[in-house]
Amino acid sequence: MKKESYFHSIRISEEKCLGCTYCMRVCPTEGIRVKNGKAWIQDLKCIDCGECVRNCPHSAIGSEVDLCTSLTSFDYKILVLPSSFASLDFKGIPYEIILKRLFYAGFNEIWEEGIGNEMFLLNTRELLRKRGEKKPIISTACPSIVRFLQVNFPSLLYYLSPLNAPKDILANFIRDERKKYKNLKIFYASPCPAKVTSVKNPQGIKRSQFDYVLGTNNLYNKVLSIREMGEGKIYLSGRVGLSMGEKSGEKNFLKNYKVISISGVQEAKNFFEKLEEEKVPMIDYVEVWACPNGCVGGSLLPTEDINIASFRLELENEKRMRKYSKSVDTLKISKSINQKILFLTEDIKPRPQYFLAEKFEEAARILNETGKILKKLPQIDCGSCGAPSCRAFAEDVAKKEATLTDCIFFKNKQ
Amino acid sequence: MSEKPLIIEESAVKGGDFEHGGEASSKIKNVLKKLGIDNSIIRRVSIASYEAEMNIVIYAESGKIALEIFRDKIRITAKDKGPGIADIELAMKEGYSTAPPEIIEMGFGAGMGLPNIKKNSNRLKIDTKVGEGTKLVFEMDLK
Repeated sequence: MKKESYFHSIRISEEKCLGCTYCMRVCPTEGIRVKNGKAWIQDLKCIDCGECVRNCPHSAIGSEVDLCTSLTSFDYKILVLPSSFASLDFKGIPYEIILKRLFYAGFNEIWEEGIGNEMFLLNTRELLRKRGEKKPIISTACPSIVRFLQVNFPSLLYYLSPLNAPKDILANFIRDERKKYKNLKIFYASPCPAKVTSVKNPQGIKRSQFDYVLGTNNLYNKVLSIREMGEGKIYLSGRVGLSMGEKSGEKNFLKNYKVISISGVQEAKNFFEKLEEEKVPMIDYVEVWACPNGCVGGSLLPTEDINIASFRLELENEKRMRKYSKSVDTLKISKSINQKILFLTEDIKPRPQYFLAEKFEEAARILNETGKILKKLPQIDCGSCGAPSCRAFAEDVAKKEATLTDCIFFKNKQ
Repeated sequence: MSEKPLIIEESAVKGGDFEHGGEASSKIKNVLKKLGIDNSIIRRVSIASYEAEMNIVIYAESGKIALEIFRDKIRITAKDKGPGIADIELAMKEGYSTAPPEIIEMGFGAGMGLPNIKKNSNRLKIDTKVGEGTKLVFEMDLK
């Protein structure tokens, strides 16, 4: 097959990897193999969902983020915090103090991504209001899901919302609004590898308006070790935007429409199979997240338990509920917004990775060969061969990417 | 006979097994995806094979769905042991159904099965004997 290159942000530390196969078993695109005692990612299949990061028992897998050292420059620095940031355990330190510590760290302004979420949701509702739109519309909020469709379900790209992801709407807005600062740098604190990749290798837009993308886990460590406080401008999200930090945030806002809310990449996969086969009821909108419980389950969040994290996010949300449902900033912005910044500007192209070969005849040969090989295998999916299942292994052998004797059972039979 | 098929896959389908009804056609879809077949053809095969599979589940005792892929076409054969079709012309009419009310209540047996298969395939052949069973053969041309 043609060798193409594709950038994803997931990195496996060769030093820390023990070749234990945990990651290989949970990869939803079967894109990890263990060879010579180390796990390897097949780059084209990676959708940055972070399942491998979450499931690695040796903390050997992470994401290629920018480091907090980039904060020491003299630029005008704006930080965008994801809604899931408010779900973190700040060891009793109030959220307002945490923000002030971030100003001390060097940021001049802090914007909550929730404002972008609110602009995204207001415009999603507009789309749904229009008749004749293709249904269901699939949310573009989760970049891992967008990549999952490109790689495994390209026929469903047709249903993707034309809207830009919330954080990119917000970054576009900030870039426009703060033009006067020549040395403006916009930072994003990413809760997951997919959002890191969506800054470094975006789909649907030419380039991201974020200059740097930090890992939320790194920023968390930094902010807890700072004791001093600084000053700066804060733009807080309302209840609507903050609740998009977890599953059902979109569904709850779009309550006049038929919305299905899905979280977890395996659940997403099951749903997309059914949607592809047209076996789903009438649905207007699909809210779908690769992480369990939505963004609060992001694999770059220092979260000990996702349900507790969801609960903390809801507590923070209650504090704001009394004041506003949507942020005052969102309301101001939506009046004067430049429509262009709301929409994707490029096609999101199919990138199917499940073909056995480019040529149909060759693919058929591999498929037949796979069937024959599979009959010889124990079919217990033990993983010792370094492939996620006996069937995946049989395919690898048929493609001449592995040899039959990699299977310990086959070795014993000989 | 024309040339040999490149791929032959067969799945058994059990009558009355609504729980697993649909698995054979999902399997067919995933084989076609692996071969890199055009999405619009996959969609047609997927719809037609699901209808054929559900016909077996709803009406027959047992059956088999076979997929054959040739260089230039896809052939699906759905063969069952069952009641057979008394009046094919009537069965081909949209909305005509002999399904009992409890099946219709489940959302099946809307009388769209055979018409849907015909609509989504290039050729459809029906062999049926009342009291013995039915054999559907339908084909979709590639390109």
